Amino acid sequence: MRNIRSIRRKTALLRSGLPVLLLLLLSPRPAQAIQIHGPPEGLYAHLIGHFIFFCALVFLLYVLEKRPLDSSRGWLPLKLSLIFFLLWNADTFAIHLLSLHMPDSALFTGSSDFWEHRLAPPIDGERLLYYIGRFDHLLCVPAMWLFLRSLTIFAREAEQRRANGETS
Amino acid sequence: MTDTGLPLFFLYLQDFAGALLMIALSLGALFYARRLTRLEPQCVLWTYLLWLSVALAAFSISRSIGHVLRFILIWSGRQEVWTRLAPFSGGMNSLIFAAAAALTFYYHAMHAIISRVRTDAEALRNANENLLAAHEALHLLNHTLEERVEARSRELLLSEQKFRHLFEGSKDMIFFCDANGRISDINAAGVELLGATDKKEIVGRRLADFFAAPELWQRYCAALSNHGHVKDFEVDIRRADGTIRSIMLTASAILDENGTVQGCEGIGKDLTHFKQVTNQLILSEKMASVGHLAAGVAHEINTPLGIILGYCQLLTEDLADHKEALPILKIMEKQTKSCKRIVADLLKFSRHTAEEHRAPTDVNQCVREVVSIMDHTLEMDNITLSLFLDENLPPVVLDAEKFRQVLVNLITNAQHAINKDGLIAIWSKRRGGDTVEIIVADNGTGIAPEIINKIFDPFFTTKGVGKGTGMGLAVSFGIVKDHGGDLQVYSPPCDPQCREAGMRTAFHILLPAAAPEG
Repeated sequence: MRNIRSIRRKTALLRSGLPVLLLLLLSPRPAQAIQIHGPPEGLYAHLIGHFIFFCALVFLLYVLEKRPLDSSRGWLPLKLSLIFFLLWNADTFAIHLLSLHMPDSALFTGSSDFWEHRLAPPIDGERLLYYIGRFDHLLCVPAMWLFLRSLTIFAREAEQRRANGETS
Repeated sequence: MTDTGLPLFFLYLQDFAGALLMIALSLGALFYARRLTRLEPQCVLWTYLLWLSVALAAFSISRSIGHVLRFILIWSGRQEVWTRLAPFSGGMNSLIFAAAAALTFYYHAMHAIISRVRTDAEALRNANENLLAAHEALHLLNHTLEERVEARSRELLLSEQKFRHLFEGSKDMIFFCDANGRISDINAAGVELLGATDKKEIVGRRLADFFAAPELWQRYCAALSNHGHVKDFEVDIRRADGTIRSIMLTASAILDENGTVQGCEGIGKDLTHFKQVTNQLILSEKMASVGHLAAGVAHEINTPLGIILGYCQLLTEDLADHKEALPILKIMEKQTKSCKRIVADLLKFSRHTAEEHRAPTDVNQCVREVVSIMDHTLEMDNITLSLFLDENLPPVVLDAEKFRQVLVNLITNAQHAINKDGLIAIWSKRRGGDTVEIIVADNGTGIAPEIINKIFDPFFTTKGVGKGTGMGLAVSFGIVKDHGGDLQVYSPPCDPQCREAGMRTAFHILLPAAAPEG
């Protein structure tokens, strides 16, 4: 009995609200709330991502330094890895910012011959910094290697603990 | 170089090699992170590192594939394709950065929560362990409670039995009094000592009521209050039947926490028999001394008396016709003979008599002979004489004539004590294995305590002048002692049969039985 009353109430609402809805749909006006996303927005979002990742790394380093969990040998490579990721993050952040100031003509990449691709002159300090900064794999590869190194140490110690019947 | 710019080839080379290394290293990290979570799945750090490895691997693959595709597309002359694809790679990298950051912050929050949960869990575990320990202890207590209660009850029962046995079995009086000096508990020996038949007759009565001398009760209470105890306190108590017993009290005050006397507990030792024995010993020593003195005196007087008597008799024969002298000589002879008789008594008392006719004798027969002689005299005074003779008595080696004299003396003494209308009873019985006891008792006036130790003294008498010499009991004492026996007097009697018969004085003749023949 209660369900029947509920259904009747809903159908009454539909009957009274449907004409109003149709009226609104058939008389459209400009929607001012729609936001347009221009080209720099992706770069900004990417830079914000770098910044958040940077903050997270600093926070993690702070936590590990402030409250060390145990005396494992894996913490040192983990901390070094985080420092290298921090440096890499700063480096790429700087490169992204530098690329904003550089004109499109600064990079010649029009040929299919990679040897002819150049950072066009004049090579001033900004372009030289950009050129050096682009070697970011020299930072992120050691960071990843140190991360792997810490995990291998943690895993070895965990296996040792399991063999000794201990718990972490 | 600077005129033509800086070559990007080395950059490409670094990017290409670095991209491949990043993929390899990130996959390796992912492998070890996954292994860690499998080895220790409960560790939240490993979970975080696994997800960080996933993010880094995704980042490496996204970025490295981007680099590789860029080379391929540029090399194949399709740079515009790379230009369209590059934002996807960058967007993906941005998302991974955000995800890695979120993971890091999330890990920290999770770690804090888990630490708190772990702390709480540790506290819960400790509480649980404590609860388990308490439960175990309670279970153990519950399990052993019955046994422990039983063991404790058994110990208490044994202790109670031990002290109850000591209390009830003691031959000395043990008593407890309350703050008012009323007896709250007393053992069987105490009941008997105070002359009652049941404890109920004693409990509730004041101990002071039994003290013969009230001033001794005051001294007893003062000593308890001042010193907390009394020791070897000699006191005479008046029993329920009126008889007096001498006891020695040793008691302690019962004090509460404030030091106030709440009562007393003590032991009373009956000294009556001890005192009697002591008095008899003293009496024996005294009689021995008197006997020795009497023997010396009698011996010294006997000879002159014999001479005086001889000359009196010679003079009587020589002056038979002299009318004036003859009566005087007769009086002298009579008085001299009286003196001789007294001296003879003294010699009998001191056991220095010449004639001895000892033989194994039936003491019952002697008693009957004496009674048959004296019965008539007693009947004249309306005195009944009862005999309670043990027919199985062993013979006694004695001088029958002297023994009969002892019996005559004692019966005569009893007759005088009764005067008229009374009862004399004679018991013969065996005491121990080798002693025959003859008791001569009467229900006369009794003997006052102050003279009872003097009645065996020579010449001691309570009779009027001329009615007795005071030698009867002394002579009897001497004769009995001369036979290796003893003569004791009790007033009131100590023998239950005598007391039940209503006797007030009892003389006990103790004689050694003759050794059996063979």
